[in-house]
Amino acid sequence: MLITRLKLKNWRNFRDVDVKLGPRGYLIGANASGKSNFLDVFRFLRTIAQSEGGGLQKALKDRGGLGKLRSLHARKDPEVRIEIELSESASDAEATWRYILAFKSEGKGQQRVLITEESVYQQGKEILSRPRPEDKSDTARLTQTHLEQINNNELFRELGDYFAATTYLHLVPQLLKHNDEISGRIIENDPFGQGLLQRIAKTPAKTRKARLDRIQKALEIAVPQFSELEFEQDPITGSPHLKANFKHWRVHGSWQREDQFSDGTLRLLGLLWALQEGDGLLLLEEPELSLNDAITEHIPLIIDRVLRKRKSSRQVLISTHSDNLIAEVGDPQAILLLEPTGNGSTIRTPDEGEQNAIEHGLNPAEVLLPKTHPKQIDQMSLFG
Amino acid sequence: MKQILVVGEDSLTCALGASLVAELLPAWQMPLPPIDKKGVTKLIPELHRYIRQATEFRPVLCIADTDGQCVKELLDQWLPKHIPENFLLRLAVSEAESWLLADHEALANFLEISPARVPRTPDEIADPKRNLLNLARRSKNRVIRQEVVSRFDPEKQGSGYNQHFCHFVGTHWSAQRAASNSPSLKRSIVRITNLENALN
Repeated sequence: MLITRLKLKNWRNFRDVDVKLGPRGYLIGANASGKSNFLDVFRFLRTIAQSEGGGLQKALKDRGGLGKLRSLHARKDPEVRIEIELSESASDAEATWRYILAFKSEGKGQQRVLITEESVYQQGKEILSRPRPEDKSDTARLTQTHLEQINNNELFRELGDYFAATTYLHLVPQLLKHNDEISGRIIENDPFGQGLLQRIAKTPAKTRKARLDRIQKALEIAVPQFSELEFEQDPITGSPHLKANFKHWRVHGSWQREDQFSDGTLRLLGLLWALQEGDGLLLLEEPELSLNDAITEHIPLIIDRVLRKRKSSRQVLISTHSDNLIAEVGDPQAILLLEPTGNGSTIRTPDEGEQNAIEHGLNPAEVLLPKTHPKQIDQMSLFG
Repeated sequence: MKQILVVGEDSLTCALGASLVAELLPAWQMPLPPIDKKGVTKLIPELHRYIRQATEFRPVLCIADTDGQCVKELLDQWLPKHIPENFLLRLAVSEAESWLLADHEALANFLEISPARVPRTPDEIADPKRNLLNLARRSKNRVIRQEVVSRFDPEKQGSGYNQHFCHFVGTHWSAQRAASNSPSLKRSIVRITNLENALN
């Protein structure tokens, strides 16, 4: 299953957008154009759908309340609305699922956030439509979605499970390396990859070995001197570690643990692991960070290749600023261009002229990335 | 409206390309900002893509410099035998900086130096970039002195070299004026202007 369409109203810096999505999506845009905010919709839905400690109110609280979430451009209409369509394949004419969630502040008393609409359609047929009469007589019901309630979601639990399976990865190598020193608290769902080792440890030994072998092969090519990758459990503390052998003048090379790996090695490792685990949507935030340009340009291929070898594929959305990465994207229509305007950001795929320029010799980075550059960057006023 | 794509080997040649189009083909539009290849070594292996763009889609003006080599030899080496008439690869002799020096009035004004210091036959200078740096070092404008020339080695460019000279090309420099001092620029102007007629 994959998400084929997303419509947003008043979501962070998007006042009104309607985007079609395919198996891959590459988000490009200037700084603060809303790439992470766009990815955040899927994390928001994940938190709502989570069976343990999730729900709408939790998802709102995690984001500092409705006031921080609602678009600054929403002046007259205070409602936030998310409409999302899912299908078995990107070419399906009719969406398998359509889910709509809208909410706003009640505007009086406790200022609770109340649901103004929650609907589910399966193959175009309505199977849930709220608010119902009982919601109106007991408004406390409107603080929770049916998506998060097992008693109420049996007809569309598949949808909730799909949202809950979303993974977001923005691996911060320093958090992983210095986890003990900073006694790093791992944020729910581990967006920054601190718990990578624990996740690797929890994977059944056979699967773990197969995945690490594949990662080893990729790293042998990408990281000079890298030769072997193994998982080990510290004999005294029991804590999980990765160790790698680096070939050098000593016959047997030297073994290093993950806290000695380079930032780039760790980020690549985290990316390759994430591609092999889970089934839901995968959100990757700037995968090019810390990586050499020569590796960055292979990221689209790495993603396609790793996913092709799996039984079930994953939909992947990637935010990036990288020229080299975007240059290698095979299908220009997979690129989503975010453009800030005075009335919120807009999202679009390449238009006909841009598509033509790409089909006749130019690469997507040459045609599209200039549109994400600040207009005045070449003027002399930069930094005084 | 007719459109043309500009490709340059670095940011300065890109700025020159954009100015040439603006001055010589005023009715034309650039659908994209110039594509900066960040080095001639990255431009040459990809020339075939830009030739394809010109053959199949829209005219392309590509600017690089000869770095002291023979123009004809370079073109023979870089380009296939048959190229479409709406693909132009123009080479500044011997560097893009020669074309900047060629508009001596504007350059002297911009750098706040005496026009007499600017050489009159820039195509014949062996190292036009060093020449330009020497002039910038004498500038009465402190910001130019500090940013155009390296603080650590007066022979080398500073971190603001491209910014300042691209700004100069975009706002002060005139191709027509510069052409009277630079034969390589003059030939390029003829070819670019011909583009208008060739495609009518």
